[in-house]
Order: sequence, then structure tokens, then C-alpha cells
Amino acid sequence: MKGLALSFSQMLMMFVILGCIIIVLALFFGGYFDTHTMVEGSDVERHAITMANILLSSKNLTHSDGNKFLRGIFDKEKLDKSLLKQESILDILNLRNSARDLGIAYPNSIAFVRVSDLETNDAWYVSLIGESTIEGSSMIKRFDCLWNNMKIDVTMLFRIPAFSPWEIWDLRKCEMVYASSSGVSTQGFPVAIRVSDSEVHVGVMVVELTEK
Amino acid sequence: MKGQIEWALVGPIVTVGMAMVIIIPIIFLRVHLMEWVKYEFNYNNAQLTLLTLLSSTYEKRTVSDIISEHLVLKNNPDIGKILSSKLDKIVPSKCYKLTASNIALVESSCKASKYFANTRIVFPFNGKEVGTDLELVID
Repeated sequence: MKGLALSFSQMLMMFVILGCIIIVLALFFGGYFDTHTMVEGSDVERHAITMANILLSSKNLTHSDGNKFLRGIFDKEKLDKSLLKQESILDILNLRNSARDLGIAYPNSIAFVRVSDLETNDAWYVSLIGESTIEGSSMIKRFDCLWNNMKIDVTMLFRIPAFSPWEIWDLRKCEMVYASSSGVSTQGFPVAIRVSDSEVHVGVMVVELTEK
Repeated sequence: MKGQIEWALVGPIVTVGMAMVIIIPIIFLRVHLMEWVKYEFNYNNAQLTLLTLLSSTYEKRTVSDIISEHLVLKNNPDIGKILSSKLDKIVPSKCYKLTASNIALVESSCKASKYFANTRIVFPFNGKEVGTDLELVID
């Protein structure tokens, strides 16, 4: 009877030790992948910040005093030339036609950049579309698909979520056929907009980056 | 038997201890990374806000000229209104404080304390001082 008690306790100990090893391994790998995913997940955010910082120093947008380009000070003439002037709020939905090449774009991504003059309420916008390197995937086709399937009518009241401009099956179709986004990041940066030699307004640049 | 049960308790205690040793650094790393990215972004934005403010104009004069002249001559009673009209537009939290030589030029109703940006502002010639430090704090 004594021997039986001893072997039972030994078995219990073995189970406990085995449990310890499994828990420790699970926690280690779980923690590792959790941290790894977090760093990967913040990629879109880091890309959006980097892209915005490059745009803040871009020679296509910034004012030059003849010797150097001034970071964070946009030139209205260059904005008129390089970006599209926003006439109405619906312009921002015109993604395909607003695509411009400013020499910067991440692969498999689409960035929507909007510069607003906060003193006159003028606004300019542009979309920067990166090269697609994944076969069958196209961010612009995805946005076109969403745009073409948008239904603004009374049925919006009964959709999930309510007031969504898309039916759920249309959203899935566009995601499945072209590309689902791995993340969206929106960042805002204060900028100065030089209208003339004696007039510089305060403004804001918003960069919204969507990546596959 | 009693001694063996006590030994069996060592397992869970060691497990919990080891789990804490692994989890705590990960939580710390996670919080640290996120806070650091957030701080860098907002610090950069504070500097851009100060740059934008000083570069902008009010009645065809740069805000930096208006501030430096006011600091020497104390000739602009509306300086607070001018600065707040600009800062209200470019500071999303509407919490800010701009000081020069420890004198507050403008301060919002809420107290800003998180992100600092400073620069040197040059005075018009006055025979005494060349310039002073300008500091902006935003939330």
C-alpha cells in the first residue's frame, strides 16, 4: 500500500512537471508571437509616419528659398500643380483619377493625402498608389469595386452595420476578389502653406495609408 | 504523504513564477515600444506645430517677428489672441502653452504638459539681448 502511494505521488509529480513545461513553452511562444505580431502590426503606422515625413520635405510640395527646400512649409503654387484642388467633399471618393506620382509609394498600398488650409478652408488631395507585387491583388481595383458597389438608398437603414453604403456580400466580394487590407493608418501633421511672399497660412496634412 | 503533497505544490508555484518572469518583460517591452512610437510621433508634431506657428503670418507679418518685437517692446496687447487663433487650429487637443523667458505668451484653459518643442527666437536690435528661448508645450 505504501509503494502504491509513492508511485501515485510520483505520477502526480510527473503530471505537474509536464504541465509546467507545456505552460512555460506555451507562454514563451505565445509571448514571442504576440510581440512579433505587434511589431508587424505597427508597420502600417510606421509607414504612414515615414511617408508623411518624406512628403513634408518633398521638393514637389515644399517652398524653396533658392538654396534649400523648407521642411513643413508647402508652396500653394506647387500644391496647385502637384495635387488636385478639392472642390467638394465627394472628390475624395475619386481615387483612380486622383492618382499621381510624387516619387513615393509603398508596394501593395494606397495612400490618400489631403492638405487643408485651415485659414481659407482650401484643400488639395492626391492618392499615391504603390506597385502591386502580389498576383491577383490590386488595391485600386478593390477601391473601384467598393465604389461601383456603393448603394446609397433607403435599404441602408436595414444593413449591418446600419447606414453602411455597402451590402455585406458586396464588401466580401471586393475583399475576396482583389485584396483585403492588412491595416489602415491615419496620421495628421501641422503644416504651413505659403500663399505669397507676405502671406503664410496654417494648415494640416492628413495621410491615410492602406496596405495589403 | 504530507511531504509529497507539499512537493506537488512546488510545481504550480514554480510555473507561476516562471510565467511571471516571461510575461512581465514582454508586457514591459510592449508598453515601452508603443509609448515610444507615440512619444516620437507627438514630439515631432510639437516641433512641426512650433515651426508652422512661427512661419505663419498675421496681417502680412510673420508670427515670429510679432513675438520677438512684443518681447522687446511689449507693444502688442493682442498677442494672446493672435497666437491662440493660430494654435487652436493646429493643436487638435487645444491644450497648449507658449512661453518665452519664462513668461507665458499664450496658455489654453487646460494645462499642457506632455510634448515640448523649443527654438531660439531673435530679437530686433535693442543693444541688450540678442534673443531668447521660445518653448511650446502641447498635449
